[in-house]
Amino acid sequence: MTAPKERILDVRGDLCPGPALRVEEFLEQNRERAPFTVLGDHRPTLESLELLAARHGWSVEFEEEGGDWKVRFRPIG
Amino acid sequence: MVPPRRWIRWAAAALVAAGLLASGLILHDAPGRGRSASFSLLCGAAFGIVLQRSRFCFASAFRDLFLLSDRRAALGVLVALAVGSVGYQVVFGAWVPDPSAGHMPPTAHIAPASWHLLLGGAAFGLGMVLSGGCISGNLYRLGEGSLTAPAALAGTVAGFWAGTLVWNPLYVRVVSTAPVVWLPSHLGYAGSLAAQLALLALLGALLLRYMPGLSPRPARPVTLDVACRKVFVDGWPAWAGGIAIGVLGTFAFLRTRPLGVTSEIGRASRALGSAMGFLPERLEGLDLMAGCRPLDTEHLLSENGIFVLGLVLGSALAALAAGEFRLRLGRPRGHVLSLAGGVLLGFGAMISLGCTVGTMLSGIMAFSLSGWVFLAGLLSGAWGGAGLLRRLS
Amino acid sequence: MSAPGSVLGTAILLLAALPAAAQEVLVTTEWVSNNLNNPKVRVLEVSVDPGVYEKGHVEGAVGVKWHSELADPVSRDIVSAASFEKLLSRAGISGDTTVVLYGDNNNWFAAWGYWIFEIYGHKAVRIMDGGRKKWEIEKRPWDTTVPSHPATTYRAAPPNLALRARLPDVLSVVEKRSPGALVDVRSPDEFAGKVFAPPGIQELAIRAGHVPGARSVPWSKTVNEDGTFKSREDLRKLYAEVGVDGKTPVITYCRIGERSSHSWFVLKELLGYDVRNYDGSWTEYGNAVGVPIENPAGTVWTGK
Repeated sequence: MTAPKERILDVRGDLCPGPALRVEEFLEQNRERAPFTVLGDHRPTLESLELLAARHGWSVEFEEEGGDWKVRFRPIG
Repeated sequence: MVPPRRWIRWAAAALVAAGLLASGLILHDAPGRGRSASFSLLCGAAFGIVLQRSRFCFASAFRDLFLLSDRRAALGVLVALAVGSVGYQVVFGAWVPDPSAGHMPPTAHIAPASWHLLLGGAAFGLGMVLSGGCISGNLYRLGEGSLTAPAALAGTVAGFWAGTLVWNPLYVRVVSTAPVVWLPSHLGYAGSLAAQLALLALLGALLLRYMPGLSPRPARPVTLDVACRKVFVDGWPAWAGGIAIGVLGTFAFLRTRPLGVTSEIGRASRALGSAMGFLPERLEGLDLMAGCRPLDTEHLLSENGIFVLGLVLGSALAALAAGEFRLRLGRPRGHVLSLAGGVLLGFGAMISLGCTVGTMLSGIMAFSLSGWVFLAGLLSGAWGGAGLLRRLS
Repeated sequence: MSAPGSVLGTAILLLAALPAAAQEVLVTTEWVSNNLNNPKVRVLEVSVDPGVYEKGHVEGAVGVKWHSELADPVSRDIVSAASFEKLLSRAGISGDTTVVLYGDNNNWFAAWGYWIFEIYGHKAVRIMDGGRKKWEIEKRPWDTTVPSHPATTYRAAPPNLALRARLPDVLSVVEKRSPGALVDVRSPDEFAGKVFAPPGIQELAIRAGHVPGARSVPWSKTVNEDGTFKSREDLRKLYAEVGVDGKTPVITYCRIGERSSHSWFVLKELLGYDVRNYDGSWTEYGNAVGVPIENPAGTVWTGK
């Protein structure tokens, strides 16, 4: 059985606080706490997601990919 | 658009840096310019670098308090104010030995304080939240390659026109009779420094107490590679940016003028509007008597213009080095919000004779009550803006 | 030594001393630099650009605010004797102190200061040749501390108003009731009446042009690139070209009266002519009712 494909939240082109608001909304709806990835193009905007993640019990990992940034959200506990 | 490969980025960054240094040298010896212009360029570049590296965004400092309960940027602003306050006092002591004798330190942004600053601050605060950045924020974003920043700056010009149209009656009714309150003249240097630092500490304590922070990441052993990443690639912590800005603010005050980014934009807006014929010819209280002293009409860019140019280039330099430079088209909704927010920014900056940098930062660092009143306006405007953004998303 | 010989010898000595005495109104930056700690010398900076003095001045120089300390801030007039005495007492100046003035903007305001000091009869006043510009060109150091000198009690002499021309004096010359040569130190465009004032300037007059019979000698022709005054010979020739040779009394004017003190200094102190400064200048004359005006360009006030 293959693992379900990880959801990708594409916030490229969004100005802050757009991405933060979208991610917050997604976190509140994501009851199963399945890991997901946020795809953005402006690292400073993405850095503000760290606090949001911590508050909702998630950890984040940044990875650069071809000029874009992937922020992997993993639930803590 | 995918950002160019690492070596192209670094070459471009080096080119920008070399260009800045060369321009600084040229300005230094250019007739009619000199040390002051050269310093303005380099100080502007340093400011742009610090803003970009530490993501020092006044807009997020206020907005994220309300929207995300994120206090980091706000703490950075408080640190900048505290460091700058100390620096300014050191300069005051050299220039104005007796603060109660009735003389103010020259060029410091000490302005009349009244409700026009609340109105201007509220407009500016709302505008900066809508457009995703205050004027300095949009300028450094421009350096990062943002294509929504020009929309905000265009809106700012229109906002300046709107502010100019209401300026004369506002000046006559409100500004001309508003008191100029310079704290050291009432409390002395020691007293005003203690009082202001205590207030800043109190605000910081409130933020630390009531807004949760991040737990620190496990420290990595600091090798040369890690150190280079921390300086050139990773974002700097907001408090580090705050210290740097406090120091830059002091240097700028000592050598040229207090930090500010609206003087040239305002001047250019006025020139454009006057050429188009719809602005009043004289602005009360602003067009002061010059005596026989010649006005600087020969240069295309004033020193503030040189500073702003340095800011954009410094930000570009930092962004290129960190791999954060990219032409970002943005969404149509972003452009509309930027434009609308920009108009509010320009209006607020015109009637307050400055922005988050010129009126709030430089005003508070100079111990002027006007800076605090404008700050109160900013808070209310940003609070309203945060609520509006929530409803729009 | 025979009597005629000693008379001749004394005459020669006196003649030799005269140019030296005339030289003394100017001091070089070198001299100022060497006399910073001389208790008999006091340096005053008269600059108007904001912050210029504070950001860097000659060590030990006291900053003088032209607008409030050398001019009356309420009524259009020179500083009162009482305020002048307060200023000098605060700066620690006594009757026998040698005062050296310098400033920004080509020493214009320092020259005004010199004129005021002469009006109130201070014995030893000098101008630092080249002002801030020369000091900067020579890369001499600036200081940022505001000095404090022990206060004195200065007494000014009754004002010598023979150095000052008023509107009736100017009209008297225009109407040929008294002899005189008028020197206009403004730009050629202002002199010709093409413009009322340089662009952006707020202090305008209702009429353009110049006082009838005035000669145009813009102040900039009297200084070198580095801000120092040209040689006496060159200055003599410059003014002789427009017919000002010292045989008739001179009156200098500009738009407000500060630049004209610069040329007043040149004509009176460097060339030794009989000169008065008309500090009302064009802002008074060009706004006065019923006075004759020469307006070659024919610019008319359109009363917008």
